[in-house]
Amino acid sequence: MSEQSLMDQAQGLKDILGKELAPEVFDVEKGHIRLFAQAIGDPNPLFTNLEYARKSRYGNIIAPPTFLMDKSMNTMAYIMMAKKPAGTGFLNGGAEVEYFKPVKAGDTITSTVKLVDLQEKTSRRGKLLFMTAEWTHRNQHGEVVTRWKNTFIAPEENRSTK
Amino acid sequence: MTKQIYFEDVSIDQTLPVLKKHPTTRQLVQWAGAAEEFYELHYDKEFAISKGFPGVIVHGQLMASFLAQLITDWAGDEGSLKKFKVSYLSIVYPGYDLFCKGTVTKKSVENGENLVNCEIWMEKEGGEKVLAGEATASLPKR
Repeated sequence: MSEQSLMDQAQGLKDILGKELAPEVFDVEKGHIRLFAQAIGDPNPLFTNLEYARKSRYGNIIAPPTFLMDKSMNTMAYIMMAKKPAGTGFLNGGAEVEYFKPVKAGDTITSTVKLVDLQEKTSRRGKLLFMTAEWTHRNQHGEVVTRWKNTFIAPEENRSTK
Repeated sequence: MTKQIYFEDVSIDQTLPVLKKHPTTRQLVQWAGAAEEFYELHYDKEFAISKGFPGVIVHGQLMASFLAQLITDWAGDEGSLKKFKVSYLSIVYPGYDLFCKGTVTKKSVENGENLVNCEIWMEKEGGEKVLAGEATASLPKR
């Protein structure tokens, strides 16, 4: 094991800490929501049945709670993978999401993300670098629909899940 | 959908109906496409072996989605998920039963919303927890 701390080997991540990346904009499509709900194996008609959803309080198809997380995770995850200390692994540690507004079919979502925290910890298997990013999703009305933090872990012991 | 649950019907320590899942390699591919998450670890066995795993592993986000479904199923059309937190505790391979479970830990009224906090987790057969977290749902009143 290296004596150098993982933080010392994470300059590329320190450089982007707190800096917002360029926003990503995407349309929420009814057919994509259906495929997503089917992939979860979630038969909720609010996600798939337009007639049913129209009669609901939403008046339209809505997206499952994890839909935006997956739509927007990759860019930051791949930046972390590229900038983490050489030879470390990459694990998804966990997520924390707040929901403010429903996401409906036809919405246009603007997603912004920044790296908000870097922490080194030590376990019995060696050092670990915890990297937390925060995403904010806004709809076409400028309303924040979700705010989501996700922590990834770069363990010195390299068994990568990303 | 199932019968609507109301805030008045909920009590502390109440358990949520268990949601059983059984992710297959087919479902992982389906998820990879739908979530646009094309990391090979989740569908290419040789790649997974080259990374030190015995085979492909289930996407964390898919398992988180199962736990979110536990809450949206329970809260019904008039309820909604407000907060959701999960930690991934261990790696899960496809082909096994997974059980999503939850227990009510708190009820409160904030800004006119009837909120219910739940401890949520996912376990394998035998009881090993593979995901654990918390959720807050808002529920309608009668």
